[in-house]
Amino acid sequence: MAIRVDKVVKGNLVDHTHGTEELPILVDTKANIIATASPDSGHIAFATDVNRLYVYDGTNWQECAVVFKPRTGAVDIGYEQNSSLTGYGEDYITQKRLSNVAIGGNNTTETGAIRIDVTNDPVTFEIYLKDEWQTILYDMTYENDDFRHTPLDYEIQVWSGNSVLLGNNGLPIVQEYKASMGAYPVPILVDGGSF
Amino acid sequence: MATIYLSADIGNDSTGTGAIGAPYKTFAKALTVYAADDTIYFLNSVAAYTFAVASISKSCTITGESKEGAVLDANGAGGGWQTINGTISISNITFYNAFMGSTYRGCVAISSNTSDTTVTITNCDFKGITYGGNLLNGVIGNLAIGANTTANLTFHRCRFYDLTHTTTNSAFMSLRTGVSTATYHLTMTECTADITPQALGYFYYLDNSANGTVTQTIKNCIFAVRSGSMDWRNIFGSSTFTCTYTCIYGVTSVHSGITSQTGVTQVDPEMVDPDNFVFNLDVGSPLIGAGN
Repeated sequence: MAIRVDKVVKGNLVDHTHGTEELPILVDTKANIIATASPDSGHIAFATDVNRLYVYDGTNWQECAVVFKPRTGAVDIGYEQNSSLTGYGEDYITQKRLSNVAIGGNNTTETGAIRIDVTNDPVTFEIYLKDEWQTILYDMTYENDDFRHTPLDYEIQVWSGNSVLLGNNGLPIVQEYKASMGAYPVPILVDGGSF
Repeated sequence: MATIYLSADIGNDSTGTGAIGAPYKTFAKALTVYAADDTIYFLNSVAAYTFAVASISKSCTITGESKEGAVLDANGAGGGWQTINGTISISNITFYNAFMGSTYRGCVAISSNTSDTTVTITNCDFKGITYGGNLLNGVIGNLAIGANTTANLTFHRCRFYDLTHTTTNSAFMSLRTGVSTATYHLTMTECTADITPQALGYFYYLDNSANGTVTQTIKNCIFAVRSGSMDWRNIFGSSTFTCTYTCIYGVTSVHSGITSQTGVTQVDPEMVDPDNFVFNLDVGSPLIGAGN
């Protein structure tokens, strides 16, 4: 992450809270940093209690989104020497929960990639497996040990093909994935063939 | 000292000259024209290069433009640079899809050399290697070191993964001296090996029954056997084995034959996603900052 400093204040930063000592970077708790009276624009601070970097823009302290983690002087064991201590690696994210996010498009054709394809009608939810985008089915519900599909306005029992909604005569509106005309669905005829 | 360029995409062994604008296509061709101390350079290519058995008899540098673009594919057949003489540096290459069977001992091996030989392999991947059938067949292995010679084999910052260990009679690392006047130094530093064996076998096999001089030095490495079971070693003859700041996980009979060790651990390395070849250490891994 790049931090742009509009005013170079090296050597001239004054920590107004602690006096006239010159500090290149203010190091204090988050609360004390935020409470700093009249900091200079471009003032940089590091909060030791939350391990975050702050930059004052003249009006507010801007908080860096990435948390810092302490590193010892020793190297890591193994080939990978750029393992992330925060879970944000160069090409991976780990040990995180995604909340309140939306999935969008994806140009990556790598196994496990997911996307929403808005060019289809209806919109499809897809995953990249076996070297192609595979559509993930939705409009499904599971109720009372019954697996149902809701393509449009009816809930359909997947195993029977019958709708949950019944007609005036008590028969399913949709039977075996087929609908009859009218409000009185006809009973299913079992054809035993001919002699 | 010239540089000989190769390209699996646009190279041509017949009409090429080895110049960057007219590269050769195959490593085999480069071996027919290179002089001592030349550099053989694998340009990034979409297509894979052919990985076949080859003998390297003169000092040289062999390097890829990047590991991702310099992939040597043996197509499941035997592959390996088997007989090596001189001082050879190999870097930025992926050795892929080779079979270490009855004839081929190791992807890069010093075998039956006729003079002192030093091979240093840096930042290379060994992926999709199948080995088995003989205790002398390994991803890292050799047949025999030449009499009255010193062989130095060094792996620095290499990865070994997606390996197939087929029989009980094989080992990931398999070394053999062959004669009493042979000297063999194996060094591995900052390497990661991820192994899922299909059959019980050995992780490490040393045959120094000829009583040559053997030293093995391993430091800052991860050897992870995440499922299945492997014994650590099967050693004949004496050797000096120094293993420090290294994780040996999932291997039984560990420490046998290791004559000096500091910072060796057998804990789960806790890599981010080794099934999908993400070998970075996960947040909280005990191996972060545990090296030296």
